[in-house]
Amino acid sequence: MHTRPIPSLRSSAVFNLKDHVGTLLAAIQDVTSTFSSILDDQHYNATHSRSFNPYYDVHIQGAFSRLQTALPSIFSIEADMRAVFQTINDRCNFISPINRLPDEILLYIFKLIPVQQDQYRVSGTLLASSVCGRWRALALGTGSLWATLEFPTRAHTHQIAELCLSRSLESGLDVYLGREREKRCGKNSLPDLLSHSTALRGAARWRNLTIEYHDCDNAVAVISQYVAAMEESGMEKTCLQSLTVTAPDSLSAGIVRNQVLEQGLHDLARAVPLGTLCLDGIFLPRATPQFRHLAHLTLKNTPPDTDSSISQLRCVLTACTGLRSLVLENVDLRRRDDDPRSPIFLPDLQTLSVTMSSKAVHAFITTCILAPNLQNLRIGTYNSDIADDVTAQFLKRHTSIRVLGFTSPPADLTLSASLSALPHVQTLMLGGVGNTMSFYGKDFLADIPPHAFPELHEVHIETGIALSDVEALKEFIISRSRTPGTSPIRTVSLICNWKYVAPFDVEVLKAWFDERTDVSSVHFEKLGNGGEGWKTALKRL
Amino acid sequence: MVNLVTSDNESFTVEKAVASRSVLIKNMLEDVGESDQPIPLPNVTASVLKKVLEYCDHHKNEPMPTSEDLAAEDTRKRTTDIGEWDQKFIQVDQEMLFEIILAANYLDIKPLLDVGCKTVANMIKGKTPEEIRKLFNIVNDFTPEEEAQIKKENEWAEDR
Repeated sequence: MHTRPIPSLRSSAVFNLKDHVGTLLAAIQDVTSTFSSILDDQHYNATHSRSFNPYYDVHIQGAFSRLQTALPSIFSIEADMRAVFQTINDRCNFISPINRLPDEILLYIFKLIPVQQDQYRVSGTLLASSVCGRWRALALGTGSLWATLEFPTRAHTHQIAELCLSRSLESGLDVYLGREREKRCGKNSLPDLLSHSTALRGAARWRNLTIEYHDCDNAVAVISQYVAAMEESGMEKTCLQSLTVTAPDSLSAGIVRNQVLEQGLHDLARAVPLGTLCLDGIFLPRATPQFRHLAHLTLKNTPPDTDSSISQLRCVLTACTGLRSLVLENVDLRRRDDDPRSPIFLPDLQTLSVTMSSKAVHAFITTCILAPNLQNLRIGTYNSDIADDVTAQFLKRHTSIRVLGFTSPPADLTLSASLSALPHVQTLMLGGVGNTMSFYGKDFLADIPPHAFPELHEVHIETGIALSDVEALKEFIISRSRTPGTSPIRTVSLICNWKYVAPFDVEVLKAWFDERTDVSSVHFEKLGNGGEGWKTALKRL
Repeated sequence: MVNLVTSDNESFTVEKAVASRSVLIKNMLEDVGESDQPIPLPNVTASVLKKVLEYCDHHKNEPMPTSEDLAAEDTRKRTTDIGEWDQKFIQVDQEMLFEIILAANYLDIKPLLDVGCKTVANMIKGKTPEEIRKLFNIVNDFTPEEEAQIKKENEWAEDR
């Protein structure tokens, strides 16, 4: 009895056949090998033993005899089956469904192979290159798959780095220096200088440099060696686009200002036309003319300091004439009386995020920045202290905004009224970025003027929502669907804080969304105690 | 409505919004303009197109990825997260999975290509080379020298 394979499983049918032939071959080998042992034993017993012996059973002997007669045929079948097996086996890599994928798709899959926290970033590539000849040739011929240099404290870090350096061919390199990986492995040692020298040999190909340091000298050494190496070979050859420097736990550790590191960073920023600069836990950089090349600037956890003030941030932003995204998170600068208040024109700025920073920083940004092409704005502090006339005026000046985010709800009705001035907002994001409690946004949602945001169709609540907010959100969705000239809300994502919303209420909310035909996509996520977090797409129509 | 004809000569009539999830079809429709002419898809069979259209129909209201989105993807950290509906959708046998990937590539449906490729990447994750060979019916065709080199590299990578 047999079943005909359906067309989509024909390859599987061939592989099954190969497996069965393999099983048959193994069985034949087992038969001949066991029979050979029995014949040997029979010969030995015939001369040495007179005790009970199953070999002398007349039926068994008959079976042996028939098997003996059949052996030549069995060997012949074995030879045939071996040839069949070999032929199919040789063609397996050609007919395997995955190998029907073209090179570029296989390479894309290699890039997507997830890597665990304690593994090298190239572990997925190493794995793919260990499977078969085609995969290995593809991987070894694609430099970008190996273009990562990192130096965790492990026995063979240096060998892996050398492997990556040579196999990355001419690709730009992403270099990670620091303790990130050691921390994951529970170790605290610093990368050794031998590893640094490996990295520095590829200095002309450094594309993205990430330094997470807890030893300034080491970070400074790497930066200064890089600058020296590039100056020696001609700075125009540098392809470094992005620099990220993180001082882990700097705020809690009470970081001491390190002039040498700052000088090193300044030298690098002055020498290299960086496109992206991210400083986390580092004092404000000094502006250099090269900042005109910066497209993305992120300043996080900038420590308060008596020497740096809003005027230094002004100098930096004034130099960043080509900036496209600016993220200020937990930047704690103060205003001095003599700080100028003139506007800063950033014509290319599309994304601006100012969150968790000091009031002076908020006031400076909302007063002075002019970004006529601004599309994404996220603003707010943990406390509701951003709502003021200045912010309202800022919104009125930036009517191009499409994605609007408030990390905490504005308390000031002036701001709510100004929202009508934003005709292109399509997405509203509430909460998130450091606000881990609840958004408490019921008043804000209720205060949004009915005709504001005519194009709004997405609402994301990124902080645990309270039950009162849930009701306000429902009201908001209903009112949007009933207001002529406004788009209905089609996509909603929200995080239910277990502290404020009981499972029963979540079920009620799900049922409510189920009945809404206008809302096509709803995502829930759970926050807070009560076991593992969950995330579910409730429905997509 | 748009009429699509598969390689095995089956005809599918679908909404324009659904068919236009495919950049290939969208461009064809723009080039041809309003027309009742069926669009031949010689590289896609009916069984595969049926699945592809199921995906397109489900995602028809979502914004199309812009070229900026695609460029940003390269610089962002890649993620293999797949939405819940997409995960269920892509639970098919291997042959169909790879046919869907090939069709998504041919029809230029980047989000579907991503779902397919991420699924394969997740299948590979955490397995040994031998387990991957068994999973995809691939034969180890390395020379002894290559085997030795691979063994050494994997030992380096695994060493803690």
